[in-house]
Amino acid sequence: MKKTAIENIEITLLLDAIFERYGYDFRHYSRASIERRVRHFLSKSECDSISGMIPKLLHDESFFDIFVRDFSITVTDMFRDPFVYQSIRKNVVPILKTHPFVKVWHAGCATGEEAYSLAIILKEEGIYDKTTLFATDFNDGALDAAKKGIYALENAKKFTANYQAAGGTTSFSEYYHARYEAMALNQSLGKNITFANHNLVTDTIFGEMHLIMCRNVLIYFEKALQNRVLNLFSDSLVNGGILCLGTKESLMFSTISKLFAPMDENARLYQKKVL
Amino acid sequence: MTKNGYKAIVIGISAGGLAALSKLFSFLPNGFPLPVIVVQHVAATSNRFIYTLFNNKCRLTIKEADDKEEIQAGFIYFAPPDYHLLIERDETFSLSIDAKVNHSRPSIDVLFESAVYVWSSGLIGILMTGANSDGAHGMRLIKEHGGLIIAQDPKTAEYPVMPQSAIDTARVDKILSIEGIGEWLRDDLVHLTRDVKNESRSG
Amino acid sequence: MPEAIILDIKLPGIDGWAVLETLKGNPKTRHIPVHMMSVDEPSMEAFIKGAVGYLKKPISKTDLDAAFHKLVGVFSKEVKNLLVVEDDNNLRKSIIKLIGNGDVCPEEAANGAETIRALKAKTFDCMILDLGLPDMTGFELLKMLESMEDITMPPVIVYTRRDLTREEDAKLREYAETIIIKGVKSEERLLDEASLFLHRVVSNLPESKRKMITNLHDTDVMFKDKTVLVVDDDMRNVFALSKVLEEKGMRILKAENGQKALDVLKGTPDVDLVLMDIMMPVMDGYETIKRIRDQETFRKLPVIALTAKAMKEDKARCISAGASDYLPKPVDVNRLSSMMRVWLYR
Repeated sequence: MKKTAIENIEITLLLDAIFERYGYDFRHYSRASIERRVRHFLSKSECDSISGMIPKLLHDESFFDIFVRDFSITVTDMFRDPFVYQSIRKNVVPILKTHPFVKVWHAGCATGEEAYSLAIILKEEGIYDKTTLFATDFNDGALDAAKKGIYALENAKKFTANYQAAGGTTSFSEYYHARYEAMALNQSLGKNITFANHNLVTDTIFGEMHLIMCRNVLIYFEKALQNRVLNLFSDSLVNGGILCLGTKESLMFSTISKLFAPMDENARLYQKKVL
Repeated sequence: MTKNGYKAIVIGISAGGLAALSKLFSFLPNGFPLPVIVVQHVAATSNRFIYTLFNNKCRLTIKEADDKEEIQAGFIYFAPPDYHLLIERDETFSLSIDAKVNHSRPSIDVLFESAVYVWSSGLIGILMTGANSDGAHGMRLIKEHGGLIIAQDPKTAEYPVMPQSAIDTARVDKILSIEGIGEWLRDDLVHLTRDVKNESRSG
Repeated sequence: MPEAIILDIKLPGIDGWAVLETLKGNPKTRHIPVHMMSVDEPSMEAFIKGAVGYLKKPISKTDLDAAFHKLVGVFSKEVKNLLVVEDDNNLRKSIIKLIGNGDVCPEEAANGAETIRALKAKTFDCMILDLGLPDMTGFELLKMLESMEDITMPPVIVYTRRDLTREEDAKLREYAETIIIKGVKSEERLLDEASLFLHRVVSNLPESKRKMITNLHDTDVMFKDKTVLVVDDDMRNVFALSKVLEEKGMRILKAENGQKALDVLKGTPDVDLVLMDIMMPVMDGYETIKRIRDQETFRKLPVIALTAKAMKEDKARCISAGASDYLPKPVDVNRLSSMMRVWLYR
């Protein structure tokens, strides 16, 4: 049997083992990304083969902990795809203003850049105080980092450019201060953000939202799992609520497509129809 | 060159390679039997609709790869800016926003490595003009798995570093100018795969 | 095309809820009134999803007759009645222009007294209410209307200029389906939300709920007069749950965050059971339960955690925080009833 075919079996076994032992379900993630991450983790571990990692993952909880924290690291920017944030400011914020209190969910928030980006927009539009933002991820390491709101200083230029392109009304430097080699976002931005652990694969609805942002998370899931998650979002939205996906993602192939009308297709903003 | 069916072509090129690509694509005939997948190093903010510029001179359809899209012959797919492009075993695309590799996202190495695990010896890798060494490792991997690798002749490249690093680190099968690559794809490769396709249909 | 549908929730091989959603999602069948039936306890879900009524099995002939009667009432209603309560003349007229067209018959009221008069005279399908009235506040009006036996409350859409405090929002949620703050996009929303009520025949909604309740066999002694504290930052959840529990004869206290929950417990020592949402801002459910357990008086107080988190370790976390048990969200009313029966048993 070819080496790659054997490795494929090993990866299946590894994912099954993790699911049985810890309940984290990576079995329906897009396989190519999973393989890449597993191979990368293998090269950093002291194991000889993919299947060689299985006993250690099963018996050594701290090893598994490192695995999970390392496994799902994505890197994004503040105001990634500035035109999307412009569209949110123009099309979504006015709708949010018609609600006495607003709830926003950043699903799969990773290290928090998007949640803080939205927080800035809400502040500038005057509705931050009446908004509760939930930023969730299944990766505790990412959440810990997100809570701090500290990013590498080298990102400041890019974030600044993005912020401006997104229609920022002041100077981006108002929102952070430079500290050693890092940029630390103002604590006030995080005041209404609740960071919590939530796993999109296994967990259910925890509240009713006016806006759900889930950008570049679904790309990691196989189609059936994407559908599961999109249904979860649909059920979590109020009538007229808005869903924002990543620019290369779509809800067109899911069972919820008929429940939504496109608000800005390019920006992947969809509004849940009021029946 | 083995008689195993070639299944796909992956190309890596740096920013500023538009002219080179345009020239290369002009060689590809109607009915070209292999899908072509390209990672071009572009800025995250680059204009994504630049592909429409190509479409006049090219007989194949050029588009940006979509998540979970089926990969088919007759198309030239580009990795979207600021995403890594990967290949699934069922010959569909997957996107990723994992960390940059070789300072790049999309990274050529990421595509090439992913493609190797799906197409192995059926893969053809082409590395063209570029300013860093992204893609060198991927080329080596393709070769190790029995695929075919072609580097653009550094003497003809606007930025020779990338194809040169492939030549230095991997046993490149061919070193050609853009025209050379185009002609080979049009004339030599097509004959190869015609035999093989019949073979694989009956097999 | 049928003129009405009576739909069993548990059909063999098909999910009745899915059928209801399909019917309501299709423009061709959306208008057909659907009456749900099941052995299960009635829940808000049926009405939220667009049913006009709910029959709990076993169903007697009288039950069926009442249902048919209501459905017939639905057909004979050709126009939908809308009541717009707003003291500003221009605004009132513009709202009517926006919504009161075609088959919608609008009536106006400029103050509380006129509103009461209008509601006494007629049954409305929807009421749009401004909070700033000259003779009383919108809150006072709503409270008054709720207590009047000869008035059938229509679904209420609050349409107001001013921002609300959390207390006001919470209070209003008890009476109003929807709250809209006037602004650039508010008319669009008003139109959408009003259509929901006007074109789905729910004028009987409050009444049918009450009827549904008296049909219940559940005069369960176990629940009568017990006090339950519901803790959830989502007031809609709180009210939905409260309504179901109140019909069992329970007394409901509400808190929208952990700190308030602790305050309520301090002030009301005779709470029998707590339903605790886990995912809340500032102080989450785990933390709140721990603080409750830290107090000697509440060591044995039954606390049921309501959690969206489904993995084994999450449930274990609820228990180790001190919960008596946990239920996954969305809350299944049947399971909740059984669990409460267990924990209220003395």
